[in-house]
Amino acid sequence: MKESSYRYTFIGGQDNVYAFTTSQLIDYEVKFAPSDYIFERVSELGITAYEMIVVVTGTLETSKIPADSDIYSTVAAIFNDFFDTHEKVIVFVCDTADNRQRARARKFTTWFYRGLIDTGLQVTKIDRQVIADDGEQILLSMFIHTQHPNRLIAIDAFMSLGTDEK
Amino acid sequence: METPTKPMTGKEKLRRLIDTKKQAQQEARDRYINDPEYRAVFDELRKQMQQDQKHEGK
Repeated sequence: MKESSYRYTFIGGQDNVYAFTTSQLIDYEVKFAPSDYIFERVSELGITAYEMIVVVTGTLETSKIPADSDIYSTVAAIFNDFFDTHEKVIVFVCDTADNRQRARARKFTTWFYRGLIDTGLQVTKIDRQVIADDGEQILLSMFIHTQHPNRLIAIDAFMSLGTDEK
Repeated sequence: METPTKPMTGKEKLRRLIDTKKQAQQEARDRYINDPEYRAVFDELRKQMQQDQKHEGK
């Protein structure tokens, strides 16, 4: 079953900012911050990378936000709008301060990815769990088009995040 | 002569991703409070949402 999505606006700027408001009048910002440094080891390939960041812009605590499946489909619709060339690579870092957040993060990426598939976008999601240098557990996802010309090299670079490799 | 920049390690890249996210979250919340133009975008979206809800309720 396809969910509906909320109306969204492209604000623009260097970080490619989008905005939307839910039926509960909770305001969200979705941005795609340029992150080409992820692939600097293979910079000659010119892989364009962005970090997708989703923010509740009001002062509401994330834990108090009611469940709303339309948020996932809206983020998927925004992703689809931004992903206008299959050469872009998107990385998403989940909030993982505790077990509850990890569960929410897993749910978010699973539902969001399902929303992406519903839009007909041919994109693969690769998940990783990494321990940061301060001991924090980080959940990372990378989204890459199935026809990306440097798909395997990009995946290899993604797998080296959090390691001592350059 | 420019000194070539040292390539980042995977750990440094991960740290930069995490820091970028934290910074972006803080910036968005500050902007929501302090930037009237930015806030106006959400006010308009809220207005449209409330109008839609009103129409759906009819």
